[in-house]
Amino acid sequence: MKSETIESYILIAPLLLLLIVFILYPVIANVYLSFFKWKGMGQAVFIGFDNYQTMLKDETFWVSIKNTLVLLLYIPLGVALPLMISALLKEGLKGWPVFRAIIYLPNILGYVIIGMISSIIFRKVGPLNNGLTSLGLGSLALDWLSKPELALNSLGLVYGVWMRLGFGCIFFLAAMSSIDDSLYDAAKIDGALWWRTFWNVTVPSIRFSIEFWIVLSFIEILARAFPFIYTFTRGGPGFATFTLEYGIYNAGFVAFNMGYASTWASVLFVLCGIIAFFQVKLMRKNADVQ
Amino acid sequence: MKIRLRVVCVFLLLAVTMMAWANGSKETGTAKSAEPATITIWDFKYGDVQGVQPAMKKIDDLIMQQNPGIKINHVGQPNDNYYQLVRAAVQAGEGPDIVMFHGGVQAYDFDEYTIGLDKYIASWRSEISEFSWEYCSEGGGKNKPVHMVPMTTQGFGIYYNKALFTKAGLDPEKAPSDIDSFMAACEKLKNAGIVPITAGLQGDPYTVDFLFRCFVANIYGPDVKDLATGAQSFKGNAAFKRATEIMKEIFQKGYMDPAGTSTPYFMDAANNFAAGKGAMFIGLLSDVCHWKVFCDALGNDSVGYFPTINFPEATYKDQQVGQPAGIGYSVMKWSKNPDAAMKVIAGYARGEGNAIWMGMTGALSPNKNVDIKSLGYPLVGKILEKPFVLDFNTLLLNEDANGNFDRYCAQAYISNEVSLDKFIDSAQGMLDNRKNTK
Repeated sequence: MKSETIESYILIAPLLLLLIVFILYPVIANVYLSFFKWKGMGQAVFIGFDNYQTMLKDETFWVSIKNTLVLLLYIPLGVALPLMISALLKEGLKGWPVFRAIIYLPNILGYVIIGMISSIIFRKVGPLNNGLTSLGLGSLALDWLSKPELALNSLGLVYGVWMRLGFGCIFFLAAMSSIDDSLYDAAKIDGALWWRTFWNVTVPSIRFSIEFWIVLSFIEILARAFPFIYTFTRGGPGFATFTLEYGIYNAGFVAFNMGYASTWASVLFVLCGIIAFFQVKLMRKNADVQ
Repeated sequence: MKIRLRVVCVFLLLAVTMMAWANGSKETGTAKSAEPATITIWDFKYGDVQGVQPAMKKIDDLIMQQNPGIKINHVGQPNDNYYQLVRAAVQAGEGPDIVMFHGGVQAYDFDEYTIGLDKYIASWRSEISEFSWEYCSEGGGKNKPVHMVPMTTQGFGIYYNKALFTKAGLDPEKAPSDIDSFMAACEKLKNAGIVPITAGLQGDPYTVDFLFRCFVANIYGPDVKDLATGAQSFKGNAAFKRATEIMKEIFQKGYMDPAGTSTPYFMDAANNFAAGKGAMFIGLLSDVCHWKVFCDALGNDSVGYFPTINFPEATYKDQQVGQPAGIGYSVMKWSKNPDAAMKVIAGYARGEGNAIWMGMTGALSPNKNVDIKSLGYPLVGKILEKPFVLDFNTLLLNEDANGNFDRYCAQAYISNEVSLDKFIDSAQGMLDNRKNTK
């Protein structure tokens, strides 16, 4: 082997080591552990596919799959809204810096803080309902977190859309700044109105950024929502906002059934893998077309 | 070449740092024989700076004064991930000498890693009832070695505000302990503009959960243990079905605080009751949300108590639901000073230390020698007059006991998404889980 190649390997070794220790090993260990009964301490007992059989019969597992899929339905809105706002802002808006600070605020605060604040805002006797009532919209003042459908949709709206709105706007604005102005000039000459320009110039020009944002959205909902749900609804009422991720926590750190938690985690891993596979394939295909 | 040299240097530096660190850790772990034995305690109560820590500090000082050869290092650990930390210590094979556990299944998980205490407690075993010792034995079994010294007896009951009862035209000295008088009292209170039941229903609806435990005590009485073996059940039991209906009526008639779904039980709902914002409260008997808190806030003469609501379908009456050990201390197997550790635990569970513990925190001590009258709270004397029957929740698996029952309660009574029959099926499922687990 050439000395240059060896040196390259030495240079990437720390990063490879980190990847192996913190990503590859946990994934393999998780799958391995899913075949055991283990309380998080002491000896693990091999039980074959028992955990998988239990999971398939577990009503909570199917509820959590359903809830996770419902949350994924908020991704289109979570993409479209920041995209449209960015397109509007790109053309200049009075007081934009103030507006930008306001919509970016959720990204500064972090999941736990926003979850706690949101749980207070959405209470039956809370600021949101008080505000609606004082505006004469008392009929819209609902028990947001105590009704299953409302709680799940509140979670989707706050976590899937609002919380990531600010960063989405900044992200898409940055992407839009790279679009050649001559394209807009040409559209103007052709008599294209705002919507036509947006749809035929802006969107295709930042296609890669949009696809990347969609990938990020999937990751956020499938694998990063736990701290928010824990502080917002604790998976309730009942199991109304109980997701796959929440189930992993519950099985692992409430019931201390680590093997069973690993079974759920394996399913989540496979689900993420399938989605990532199709997304990467789609992105490559689009890149080839471009 | 230069790069290679740099990489080697970095690795060498890392290795030297790690060796120095490991050596330092080793040195701190070595105790010189002339120094007092340091006993490290981990618990999830010490972090309560206002309520519990002052009492524990006082007891620690007392124990160290009585035992000059012992130094106590009391470490408050976070409540939320406490058992994860203890498990990490077990996996590492080292950690504190003494660990606080909740009684029941959470402690039984650690039986393998805690020492048997029988020889240490032999001389004072009679001070605490066998009801508690049996529960603190290995796996909760009869005639098994004791692995934990109980610090509290936990339980649930109904507190009421006598002043608000008077305001609503009710006799404050007569507790509404049967279903008819209870419902009538709620109606009168509601009509007088008083919230009949101060409720904490946000997140985990503990008010519903705890009231169910009181109902179950009356339904099964001393036979409650049979729920774990299948000799008794929720499904098919007419009294249990009736209890679910009573709970529904309480909600439908608006007797639960309408703001309850926006109120967490700990500590908002308890604070509301202590502030006189509601007439009745399904409370705890020890640790928090208890007799001391309410008597301190409302006055000794203004707080009444009854253990449960009697209803005709239930076989038993006036049963007081309890957990033989709410919390307790165990000595870990790796402790180098188990004798000293047991002296510390005894300092908490007996004598002056125990009196401080109960008097300052409102904990319900299982030690029979505590002079209840000297505490200055007649209500606690009334509570302790009544015998306890086992809380059904202590029979469940960790997951069911720690949250699933609350989720089922929420589905049936807060979000109204399941029927009462489905609720009964879910509750029965918890018992079946317990029964089917080897």
